[in-house]
This record gives sequence, C-alpha cells and structure tokens, in this order.
Amino acid sequence: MKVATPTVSGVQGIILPLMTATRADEVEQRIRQAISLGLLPDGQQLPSETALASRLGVSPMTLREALASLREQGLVETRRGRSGGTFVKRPASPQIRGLRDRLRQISVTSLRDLADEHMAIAGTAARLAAERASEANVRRLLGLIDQLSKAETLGSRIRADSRFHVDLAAASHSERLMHLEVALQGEIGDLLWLPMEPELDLGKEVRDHLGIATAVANEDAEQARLLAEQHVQSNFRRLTELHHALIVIGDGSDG
Amino acid sequence: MADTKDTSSDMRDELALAARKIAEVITSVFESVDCVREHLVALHREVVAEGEDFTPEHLVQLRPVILEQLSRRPFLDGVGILTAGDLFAEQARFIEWWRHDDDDDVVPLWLNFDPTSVDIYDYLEMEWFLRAERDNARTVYGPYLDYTGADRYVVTMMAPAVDDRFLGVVGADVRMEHFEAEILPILYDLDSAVALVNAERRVVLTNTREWTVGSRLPSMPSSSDANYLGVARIDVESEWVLAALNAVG
Repeated sequence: MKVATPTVSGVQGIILPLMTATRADEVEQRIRQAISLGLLPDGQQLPSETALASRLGVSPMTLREALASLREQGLVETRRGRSGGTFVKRPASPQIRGLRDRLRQISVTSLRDLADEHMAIAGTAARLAAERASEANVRRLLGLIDQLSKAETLGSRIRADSRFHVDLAAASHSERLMHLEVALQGEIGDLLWLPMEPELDLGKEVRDHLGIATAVANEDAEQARLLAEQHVQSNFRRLTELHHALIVIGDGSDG
Repeated sequence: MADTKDTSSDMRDELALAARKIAEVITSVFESVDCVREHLVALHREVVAEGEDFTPEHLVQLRPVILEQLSRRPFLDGVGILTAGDLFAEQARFIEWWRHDDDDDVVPLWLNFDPTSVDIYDYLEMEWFLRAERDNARTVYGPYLDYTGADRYVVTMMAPAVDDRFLGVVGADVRMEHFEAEILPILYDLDSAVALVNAERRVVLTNTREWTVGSRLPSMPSSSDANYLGVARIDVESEWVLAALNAVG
C-alpha cells in the first residue's frame, strides 16, 4: 500500500489536540492510546522526532522522554541505519507486567476519580445514544459485542471492550463526549482485563454491553444511562480490589 | 378564509424555494465529488485500454485533482476515493483520501485496514458503500461521527464510480459546523420555524429552539400531519426534507 508520507494525519484526532499537555507522560498516553486503538498500525513508522514534536506542540526533549518510555513498554522500537526510525509495535496482547505496574502505581483516590469521570461520560453517552443513535450505530455496537464474546486473547478482548465504549459515545453524536471516552479508554481500558483473581467474567461484560445496546436500540434513554453507570461502577470495584491485591503482593512478581 | 389560504400557499412557496437553495449547497459538494469521479473513470478507462492492470499506484495521478477540490472549496473537510473490494488484487481495501487537519494543512487520511483487528475501518461493509455498489446510488450520509475516519461530526456526499465495472465510491466530507454556515442563513430567511430532517428522522439543522440538532423526531414529518404547516423535499438523492412546524411555543 502506497501511503504518501509518514505523517500523523489519520490519527490527529487522538494525538494532535494536545494544547495543554506539556508533560512527557501525557504525550506517552496519547501515543499509547493511538497504538492500542489500532490507529497507528503495527510496523507504522512514526514521523521524525522533530516533526512529531512540533505536531504535538511539545519540545523534542519531552517527546524523546515519552518515546523512551514507550520503548521500555515495548510499544515502539527504534531501528538505526538508512531505513531506520521509530516504528510502532502493536503487540497482540499487552504485557501483563506493564498493566500490573500501572494499576499498582495509580492511587485509590485517582481510581475513584476516574470512575466518577467515566460514569459521567458513559452514562450521558448512553442516554444520548438512546435518543440519537442511527441504525448503523446500533448494528456496530451489536457487532462489537459479538466480537467481544468471541475474543480469545487478552488484546482482542481489551480492544473489543474499548471500541464498544468509544462507539457508544460516537452514537451520542457528540464529538466531545467521544473524544473524552477515547482518552479514558486509553488511560484505563486495558487495566480492567488484567488477568488476576478474581478473573473478569467475560459473560457478564458481554451481558452488560448487550443490556446497554438493547436500551439504546429501544430508545430507552433512562435505562441506557442506568445500565452504563452500573457497568462502569462494577468494573471500578474490581479495579480497586485488584489494586489492593497488587499492593499486598508487593513488587508484583507473578502469583 | 381566502387570506389564510394565500398565507399558507406563500409559506409553501417560500419553503420550496429554501429547499431548492439547500439542494444547491449539496449539489455544489457533489460537483467536487463528480470531478474526482470523472477523472477516476477516465483514468481507469485509459489504463485498461492500454492493456495494463489498474493498480493503487495509478491513483496517485488523481492527487492533484483531489487537492484542487479541497483548495477550491475550503469548507470541505476531506475528499477522496474508496476502492471496490475486488478492484486491486493485493488490497481489498484501499483509499486515496485527503483532508484538512487541525492546522488546515492538507494531509492524507490513514485508516486501519487490518482484517484481524476489531478497529478495522471496513468501509466495504458500510451501508452507504453497499448502497453505492448495489443500487448505483448517490448518497447524502449523516450527520454522523466517524471515529477513526474523519473523527469529526460530518455529512458525507458520495457517488459510485462506474466504468465497465464498479470502481468504488468517491466522497466528500463536510464538517457540520461548515455545513451549518452554508445552510442556516437559508433557514433564517424563513418566517416559519423549520427543521431540515434526514432520512433517519434526525434534525440536521433548525432555526428554532423547539428542536435540538442531532436528535430524532418521533416520526418523519409529513404534510398530512397537523403538526406541520408544510414539508418540502430536498431534491438531491437524499430523502431529506425541510419541515415547517405548526404553532411554535
């Protein structure tokens, strides 16, 4: 496939509107998000550091710091030489160790705050989707539920789950809600699927999503909002429990 | 009684005139689409006539045509081609699509075409593409939010490109905020409260607070419905209507 130049054009919705971000971890999060949602496909070459830094409105130093961290997480690799550059590595599934580290480092207070934000966004998105979704939106949501129920790897479950939430927000016809949901999924969408006791019940996730999509299809705004809020809440209870467990385990050696 | 009749017939004339003006705005977008479409068909014909295989590399020749449309009509967010599933042997999905980015630079659009990915942008399965392929029909699609595509709230005008075979769809995205700037002045000129409504019974734009843009009406406006003073069709492949609401407030 002949693509003109390795610009970040197709992913600008994700990684360009970075007006306020000056810190490397925010840059890192945006790029991680674009990779995890498949906007930066495996093997894609990133623009040069200077070009990307100026696109993102950060200093080359900040970008280098973000890239170093992404490299450590195995999400990009830098090759030297004439055909060298920084390339996306989109692993089929994320490294468990990385997920554990992130969930351990986040505070319970931040987790609750994230849950609050997600409840506001997912709840409102579901309500508005019930009022505004097109038939195509509903078909897409049902398709993603089907993919989640059939997903066998950690990575494919994470992506089907995240895309459901992003497409639910897209069905609300609100650009802002959709972008907020994308940002939240980039931040926490993968943590939920951390394979640890108690294991996440795939059947319940599928039933939750189906309940929300059904309420949207039935144009039942209140029910859609309620189910979306309950879904977010129950998932955050699990994340909090896992966080506690990781702190108790200590350094996170497998077990 | 005679007065009422005149007023309502004036209103219907006014509504029909506004509907024609809206159709003109949409038609002007289709002019860009048609220009690219005609060049695509001509290019395909020429390549095939020379006994060559038509390949993605040939589409590069259409870039200047696409870029010219984007500079000519700055309110277009993006313009391009999405090719038929069986046009190229190697690529089931292929696009030549250019768009304005946030800095107003014109850049190519990237899409994820990895068939193993849940994030694949599978336009081959999308209803507007199927409609173009099956019915050889033009479509005004939206407004909708296209997460990994335009990533914005847009309306898309699309036309099938057909030579001796179906080549794909040529389209142009218009961001709703730009579309609004073209359409709302037409609605503000009217004395009645009106709404532009699409086939999904969604309020696309309106000149009154009685309706919310993006929301759906309980049913498609019809002139036999007492809630409406009149309904005029937008006469461009769209099934859109302009409806005047009876007694606001």
